[in-house]
Amino acid sequence: MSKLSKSEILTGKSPMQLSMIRLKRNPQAMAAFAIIIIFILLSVIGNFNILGLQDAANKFDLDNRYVKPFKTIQHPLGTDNFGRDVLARVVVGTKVSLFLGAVAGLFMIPIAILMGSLSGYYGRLADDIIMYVMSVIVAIPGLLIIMSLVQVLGRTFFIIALAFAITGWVGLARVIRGSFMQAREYEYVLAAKCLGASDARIIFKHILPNLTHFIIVRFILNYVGVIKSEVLLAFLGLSVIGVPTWGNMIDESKLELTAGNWQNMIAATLFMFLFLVSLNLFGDALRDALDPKLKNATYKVDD
Amino acid sequence: MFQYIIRRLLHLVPIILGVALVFFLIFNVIGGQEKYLYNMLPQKSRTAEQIDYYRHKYGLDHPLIIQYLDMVKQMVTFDFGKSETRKLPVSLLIKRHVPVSAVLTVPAFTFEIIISLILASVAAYWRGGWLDRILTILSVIGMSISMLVLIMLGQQFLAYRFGWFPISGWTRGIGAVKYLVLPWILWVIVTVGYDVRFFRTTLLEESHRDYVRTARAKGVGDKDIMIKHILRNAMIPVLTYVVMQIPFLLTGSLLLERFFSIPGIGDLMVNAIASYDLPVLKATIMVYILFFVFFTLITDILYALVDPRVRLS
Repeated sequence: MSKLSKSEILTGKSPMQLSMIRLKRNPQAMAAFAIIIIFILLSVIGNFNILGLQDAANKFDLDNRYVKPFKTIQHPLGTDNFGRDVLARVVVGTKVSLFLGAVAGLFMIPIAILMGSLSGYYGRLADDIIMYVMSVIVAIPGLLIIMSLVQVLGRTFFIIALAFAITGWVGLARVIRGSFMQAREYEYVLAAKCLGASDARIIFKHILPNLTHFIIVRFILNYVGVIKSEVLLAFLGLSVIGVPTWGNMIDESKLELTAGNWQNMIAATLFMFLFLVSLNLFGDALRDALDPKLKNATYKVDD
Repeated sequence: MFQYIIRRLLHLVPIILGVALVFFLIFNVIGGQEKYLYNMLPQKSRTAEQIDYYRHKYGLDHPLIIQYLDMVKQMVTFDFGKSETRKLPVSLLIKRHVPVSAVLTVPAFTFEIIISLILASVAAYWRGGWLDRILTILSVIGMSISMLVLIMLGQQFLAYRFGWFPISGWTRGIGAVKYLVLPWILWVIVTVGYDVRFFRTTLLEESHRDYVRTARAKGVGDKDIMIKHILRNAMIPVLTYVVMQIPFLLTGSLLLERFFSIPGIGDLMVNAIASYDLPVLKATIMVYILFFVFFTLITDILYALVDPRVRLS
């Protein structure tokens, strides 16, 4: 009998482990996750110039301009208007898009956590000030701030990521604020307070872990948004300068379509499509797996 | 209600001050006056005298606080002076461009919301059926392809290859509709994926509520439950979502106006940013903010109409 209870203790799982088990049981999510991993590997390959991809992406070969896809083995997806290999360019472009989304998210989340928890936990003056800042930022279309900042500060990678973070934190901060306002009144917070826990400890150790799933899901949504907005920035001539990105390739292709040169657009769109679909599917599955309300359900019936 | 509207309009004052501060920081402080003037002037006229002249003309020789107050004053009185690149009064440019954008965006936005609500109700009504699956797949595809690509393909095929619509252009008066049909269609195609997904989830959430079960127990038919109960109650999240979409009107109008050479405000704004035409930029920002506040006001009134509880509090 003692053996039995012992094994029960050993097999007890934390909520996070349970969510991971739910996630692993979802084949769609695992397939999406595999594709995401492949894309991360591709970006690493592009970044460290493995297989000479960066050289191939930037080497001019004016004798072989606009080679059509699937014609030669050297250029599987054809070449662009300077004779650069489209496949190499799209793989190198993966790096910029992936890093941009990740860095923008990593800038955004601390801002959102700080602002959301301060205004939600302390209320009063802090809340008023932060709500005011948020309402001002919401009143301006995000793209407008991004365009102006990038125009003034220059078209470098970190400035673009920062611009996305400055406009992107408001949505997450709102959710965090709302949850903190609720949590402030809960018994576990009162208990922690009575035991003499400091505000910082209550915020970061007690309340914030409950919001992890919101933050992760929002990070993924933001990632999708950043990658799509990068294309718009490229169209306005404000994307990262001097490197191939998905946006720059799509932008270049807008003048090539009428002449029947689709390779730039198809390659970039295909890569973007695969990545974003996997990201969307994985984000949905993750949301379902992490949602504490569904703890006992193995599968969710509806979307 | 009248008092409520007045109160909402008073909220506009701090918002305008804040917005002015954001753009003041970006252009006058971070950008710096030297860089600002340097970028604004054409290459040949970047002499010391010219820069001094313009610095005085734009009040950039004043202390920062005075510059800020100037900016606020311009935004409130809507007197932005003359555009530096087009040599026309800004108010004239705005008067010319705003109606064009309104004709493009307002019908497109209305079609978008109506069409996606219908599709979402259809998907939620027959949930799990083949129609629902197809709509879900299509909306995921629509969400994962860049707007730019969809617009480019639409223009390429529907206008250029098949010749069903004019490729681009603009006229005054009613004849402009001919140029607007394709942008409207593309707008709906581009945005409908997100909307259908969101609305479907909202409707499904609503259909698990207790009042739906009660209605069903009383013997109300499925269609009546959908139209009279679920759709009506789902209006609040739908309205919130619609307000959140308003900033995206900028993105849509900007892309479509550039592609179809429609002389709207998005086009004006991109040119203003690219050429550092600050007077025009400030004016366009102001137009957008007024538009945003106006729309939030309307939706707040709609909230009160849809949900009687809002009126009581």
